[in-house]
Amino acid sequence: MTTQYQQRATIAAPAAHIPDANQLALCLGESTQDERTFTVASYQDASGNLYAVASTVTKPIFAEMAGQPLQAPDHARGMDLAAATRAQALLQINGGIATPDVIAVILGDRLESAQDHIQILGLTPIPQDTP
Amino acid sequence: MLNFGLIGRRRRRSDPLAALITQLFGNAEQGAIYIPRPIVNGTQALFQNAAGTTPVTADGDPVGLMIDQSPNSNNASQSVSAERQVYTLANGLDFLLFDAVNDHLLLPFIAGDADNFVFSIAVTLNVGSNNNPRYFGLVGTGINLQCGYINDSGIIFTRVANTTYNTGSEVVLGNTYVISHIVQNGIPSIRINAVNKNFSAGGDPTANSFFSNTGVLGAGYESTSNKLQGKIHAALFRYGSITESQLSDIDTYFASVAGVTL
Repeated sequence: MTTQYQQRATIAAPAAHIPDANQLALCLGESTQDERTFTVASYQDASGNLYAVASTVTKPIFAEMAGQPLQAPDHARGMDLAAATRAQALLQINGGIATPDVIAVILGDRLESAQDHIQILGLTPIPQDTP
Repeated sequence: MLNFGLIGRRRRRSDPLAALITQLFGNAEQGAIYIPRPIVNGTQALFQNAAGTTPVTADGDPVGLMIDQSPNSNNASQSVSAERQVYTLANGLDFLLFDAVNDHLLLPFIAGDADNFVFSIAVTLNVGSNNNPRYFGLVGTGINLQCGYINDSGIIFTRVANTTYNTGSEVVLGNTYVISHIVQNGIPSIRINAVNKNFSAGGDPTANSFFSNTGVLGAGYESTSNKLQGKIHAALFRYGSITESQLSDIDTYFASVAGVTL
């Protein structure tokens, strides 16, 4: 049996766009909890701009839906469609490094590494205290 | 009748997981054991969604629910789609693959004897991991978190009652190990591939208690970047005293499912 999840998407939501990006995740996702996809902005670019990053395997329909007019899914009828649409307008798929004015997405084969995607996005994790 | 009896005994002997579960949890011990295979003992054990309505059937499916194989029903789950890890079957081995970005599983809060506890895991830390990735932890923030983790120098850390202990450089990145973090009578210790190790640094390992809280697999605690980049082949935690024989059986079974030679 072959998985339907044939792609990996790694998404960098600039700190200022996290609420809208979460509405987009809720709209394109599969769970009512997907509004918590982007939480802490724990990555930074070379200029110190902050991003929340999510990486996941996806079905090919993810990329198709991301380019079409959005509709509230059955699992989130009351979602903020306007916020999701604002985030959708910022999507930049396979456009290279992340910048604060776009929601950058690296979309590749499911076997690609999230860490490789993050490198393409030009992001590094912000060091955290140990432990 | 005699033949039926023999067949029955053979079947029990040939099922090492069932034997391990009985040995560890047969007296109503609290805890959980996780084996990341789609079907375990004839029953669906992995599901794509936290609600448990979509089974994992193929290499590459995301995992939102992993069924506890102990009698305690302490299932591990993840309800955020993007935070699900990937079930993988490679070279005959089953495991969960964590991306070191946001993947992790949440465990229910499980109360128990805070001074007698074991957490065992068969884990591979991939090369290129960063930020001292945790493979187990408790939800919370600040200094009260308790966790097990490995740093880029192959040093294993354990944190109990707000004190951190660490081994020497024990782990080669990219290899797979069976690691047990043990607390017995309040005293923490560690065991790697069936060998008991001493802590080389940290506080005095006496009179500590494990700080009970909601557990996490594949991370130290939520909302941090200290996520695991690697594989989990099996994991268990269990309250109560534990014998050398029981630890040995954990080592043997976990090594078998993870391809580790002890």
